[in-house]
Amino acid sequence: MSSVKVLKVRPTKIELIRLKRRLVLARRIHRILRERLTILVAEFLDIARKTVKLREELHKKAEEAYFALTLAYGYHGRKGLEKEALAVERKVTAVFGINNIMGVKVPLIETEKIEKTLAERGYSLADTTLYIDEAAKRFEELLKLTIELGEAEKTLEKLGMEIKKMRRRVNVLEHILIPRIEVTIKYLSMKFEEREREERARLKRVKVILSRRRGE
Amino acid sequence: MIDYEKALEEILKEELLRLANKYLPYKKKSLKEALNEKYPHVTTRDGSIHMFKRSELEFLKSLISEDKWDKLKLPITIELNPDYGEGAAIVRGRVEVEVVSKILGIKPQREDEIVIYRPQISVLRRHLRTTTQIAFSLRSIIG
Repeated sequence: MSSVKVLKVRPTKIELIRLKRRLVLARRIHRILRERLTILVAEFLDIARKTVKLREELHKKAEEAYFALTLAYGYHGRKGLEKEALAVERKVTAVFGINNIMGVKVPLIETEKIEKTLAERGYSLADTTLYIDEAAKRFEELLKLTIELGEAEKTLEKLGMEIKKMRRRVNVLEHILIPRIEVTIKYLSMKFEEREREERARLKRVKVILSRRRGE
Repeated sequence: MIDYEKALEEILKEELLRLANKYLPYKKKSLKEALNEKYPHVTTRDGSIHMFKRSELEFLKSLISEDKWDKLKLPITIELNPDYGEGAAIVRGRVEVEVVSKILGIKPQREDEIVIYRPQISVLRRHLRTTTQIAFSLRSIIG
């Protein structure tokens, strides 16, 4: 016995025509959704690869940055580092925008020059050593990477949510709605054929009765 | 009990609206215009903003000669076209075709039109994520 249920519809010819039209539309939508899903998955995988790469790079950079900081800390001591840190230019400008990937709105972050020159950093060059310069440079690189990774991870999350939703819709169309419409169309067609057969049998019977009466 | 008919109608209505390529720009911008803007962007048909990455604009700038900067309209539309088979897409426009063929390293069949396939779409999108948009052709929506 088929597990697909028949839709509750009135058994009329109009309803059959309407269902056939709906089936064509549902199949078309299913095809387009499948295509959209394929593209979104491709985008997702591409960004996932980028995210993994960025994360690996971030770990490496963080290791280097903290190592440079440790060296600077060892040379200048806590007080010395804190004194120089007070003078550091902290401003980072970033533009937050929206990027649209097939209807999915994902973030876009554009940073404006994070890596600074020695003069732009703001601390005294006379009192500091190369250790501080190196640590500052490494942390600037780390910050740039962190922002890039944040953008990529958020994009990944948004795409993932959309793919999940889209897959559910494709499955509903593929496994529930389209089969139900098909079964209902089949059921209605059979019902009409049955009615036709009944009608024909009735007419035959009437013909026989009429011919019998005429014969009397 | 769930009214499946109603659910179907809902899905179809929502998807058709989305598939009407609402995320495409209301008006495209030339590369020259985008380069001159502080925050290069276009407004989409649903009223939201789609921004371009400056690095991509610089990349595009390096691909074509200066006299073509105002002829290249952004975002470049990658049109999914069922006429060319499943997964095939088409890019129209002379300068657009030049850019795509240079990135993909292929020779276009025609000067103003190039047919690309799914793996090539991925490569193209990897290079130009914000300056390209994938759209469904009208024929794939209407049928």
